[in-house]
Amino acid sequence: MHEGAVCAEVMDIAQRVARQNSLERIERIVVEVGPYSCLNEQELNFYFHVAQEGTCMEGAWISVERNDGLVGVSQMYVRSIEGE
Amino acid sequence: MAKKIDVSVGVLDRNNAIANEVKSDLTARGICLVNLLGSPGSGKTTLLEALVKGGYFKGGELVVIEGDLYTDQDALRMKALGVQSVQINTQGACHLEADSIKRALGALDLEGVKVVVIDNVGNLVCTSEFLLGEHIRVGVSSVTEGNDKPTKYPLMFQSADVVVLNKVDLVPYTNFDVDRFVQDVRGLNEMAPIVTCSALQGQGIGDLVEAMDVLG
Repeated sequence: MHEGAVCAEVMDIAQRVARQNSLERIERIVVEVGPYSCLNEQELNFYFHVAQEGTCMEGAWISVERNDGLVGVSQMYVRSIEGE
Repeated sequence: MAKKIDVSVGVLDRNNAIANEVKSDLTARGICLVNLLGSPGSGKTTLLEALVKGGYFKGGELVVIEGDLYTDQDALRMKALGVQSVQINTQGACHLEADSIKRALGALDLEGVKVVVIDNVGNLVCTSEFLLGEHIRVGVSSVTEGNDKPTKYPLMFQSADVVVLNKVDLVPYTNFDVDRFVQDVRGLNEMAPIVTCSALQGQGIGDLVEAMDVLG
């Protein structure tokens, strides 16, 4: 339900990582979440699709991977950024 | 050539850094921040009213940050009891974030204040994910919601320091299974005290104050 807020944070982080690693285009972002994190991949990408227009992430997708070892609040991590 | 950069950055790190700042600032001032979470209609504001009416806090010791989508109804309820309160309207957003708490604290007169309670947006899902700088997280569920909420919405119950079961005076009129509720909460959270209350009847409010241990 809070995917809009999460999307904005993920895009900020991705932009920073892209700058630090001289990526001109981002194609895929992997986010890892705990089992109770209530983050829905489809809904996250609904926001992402709208927000990515005109940015270096146009056409990219955020994959949400579940890690049952992550327990507790705020257990969401950007794990990798793919691009060129 | 496409490349993959491995990183490990918390998505909510920015929020959590502000939350830490809020928490240490209040700790230094001897003020306890309570985050009151629960679904709409679980009785969060009524619990606050009961805390005030119960006389557990001297005048001015308790202040409230009200979170709501659009209205200031809850802030007006607190003001009617003479409690200083500030309203945050999220304009439809389902949760509060730490920066809005920081701003709200700036709008409060904290002289002589011992406890700040955040009366969070009614929501069992999103609010749990966001740290607001709280020292204590109180999760409120009520009898009329049914006893299956801990298994359906685990994060709130798992992350709470105190779990409140409100509206217990209504148990005889429902099929609510209190033992099952307690057992399900314990399956997620071994430590949190589980306090049964009726905010409207003023029942169990002293137990809640004791469990929160905010006046220590």
